[in-house]
Amino acid sequence: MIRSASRSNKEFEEILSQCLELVESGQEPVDKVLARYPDLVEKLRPPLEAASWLLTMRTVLDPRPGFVAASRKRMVKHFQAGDTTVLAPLPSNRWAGLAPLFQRKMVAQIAMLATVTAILLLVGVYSFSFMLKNTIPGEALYGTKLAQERLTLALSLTEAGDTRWRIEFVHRRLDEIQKMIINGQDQHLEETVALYQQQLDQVVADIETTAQTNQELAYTFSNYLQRVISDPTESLRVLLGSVITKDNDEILRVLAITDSELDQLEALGMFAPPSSTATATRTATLTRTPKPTSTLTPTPTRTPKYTATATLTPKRSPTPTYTATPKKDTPTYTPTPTRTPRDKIKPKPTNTHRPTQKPGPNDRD
Amino acid sequence: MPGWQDSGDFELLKIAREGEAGAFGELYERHSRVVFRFLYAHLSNRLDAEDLTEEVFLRAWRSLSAYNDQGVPFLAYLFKIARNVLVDFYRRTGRSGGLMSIEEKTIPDFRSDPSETAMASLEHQEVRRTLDKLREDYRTVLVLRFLSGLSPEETGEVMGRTPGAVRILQHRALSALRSLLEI
Repeated sequence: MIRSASRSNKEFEEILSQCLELVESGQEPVDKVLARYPDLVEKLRPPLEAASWLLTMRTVLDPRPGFVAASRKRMVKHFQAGDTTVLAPLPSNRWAGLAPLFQRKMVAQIAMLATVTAILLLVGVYSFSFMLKNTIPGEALYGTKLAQERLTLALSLTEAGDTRWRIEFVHRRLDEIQKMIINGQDQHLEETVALYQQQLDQVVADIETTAQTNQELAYTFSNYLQRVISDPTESLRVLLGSVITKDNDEILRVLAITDSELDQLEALGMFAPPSSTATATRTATLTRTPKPTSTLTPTPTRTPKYTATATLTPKRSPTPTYTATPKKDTPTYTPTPTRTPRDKIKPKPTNTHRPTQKPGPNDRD
Repeated sequence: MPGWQDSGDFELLKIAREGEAGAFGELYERHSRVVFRFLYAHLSNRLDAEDLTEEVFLRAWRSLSAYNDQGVPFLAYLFKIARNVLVDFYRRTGRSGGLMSIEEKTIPDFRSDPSETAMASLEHQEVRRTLDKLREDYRTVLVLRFLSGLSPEETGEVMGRTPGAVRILQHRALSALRSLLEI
């Protein structure tokens, strides 16, 4: 039953959280923790081993011995020197100046944005909203559009409302991506795709959280999400192959991100009604993305890079290695008590050319 | 020197706001390691991580009066500054690759065993290379949760997510990380 699968998924999440706390606190080694749940060993082992590896790497990232003490002395001496520019606090962001008037930064943000919105109402909100809705990255009003979205979320009184709006924003990102490619205004395409990924990821996280308490609502959200992104993604597939090569990479990336996130929801049973006993999959309005071959797979001579400026500015490999990885048998991990985890678990070599992914058993073409 | 060690973060912040640098020094002693770990996990150079750690606390000192501790723990506030410092650093210098720099090879280290120093550097590169293969939010949640030791609640404050969402994200991130590790 889907309901049982969802409940056991929730139970698994709770068990995994407890196990991670035990491993993190050092109370028990991984194998002893795994011994508590023999029926979940294969599912618990990978994340616990990864956490254990990270925890052993903590000391590797420690500062040099003596650095903290020496640095503390240096800083305190500097502060005590009486530099007025140091003692006079500088605002860390544009809202800090309003902090004395408003106790919370969010209140200042809401008040300022509410004021702007009220003024806009006086000058014809409908036409302005229409312009705003259709503005795309790079245009003058795009910043206002994003600010309006943030205000909408801030004014939303419930988490369900937040999720509903986030799905709408995901839809908008897809529309923007489509328009940017069609109009040839792709200077900010990479950033917009990164923002799309971030927002879609948040939506999926919201739905998973919702599923823990209200499966019916999570099911509704999942299907709503699928409906709103269906048309834009189909349009992107049509554009694929008919646009210049550099935009093809971004289209494939968007489609891969979308498929990956929907796959996650499908794996959690989010597309089946909570009362249904049948194992439903999402409706096939999204045909499987053709597996990317050389355009996305990094080759030794090509190092495509793009930056996402929504939050941090990482440069990352275009292949999301965690998505279309076909299921594989995880080798059994047998610990040797005399060896430390750091010796056993090592990162895979980085100079190995990753072959093109073969379609997995769940892939549909 | 007053017994700062017995005071909580809230008390120390209150005293530091009045200009008492020693109290802020105690806060530095308490939290600099975790901030350093966070930064060093994103950087190839230990010296840069040290400089940026000091930069984080310098900015925190300068913005003490703007910091409102209602609902935002001081540690979460520090990490928000740390993320901004990292962004500014990337903009200034561009994110470098994972290889050990010249400075890394020649900085004096107080460890007595040179092989231990070299091993630590190699392991750091391994950590960085592995984490770099993950997508940004996975990398951030793993660094904050398991390398810097923040709780899910504190991590949620830094990342702007609920603790529940952080737990789900960390589980997925750990699975992704495990697939990158060889037995």
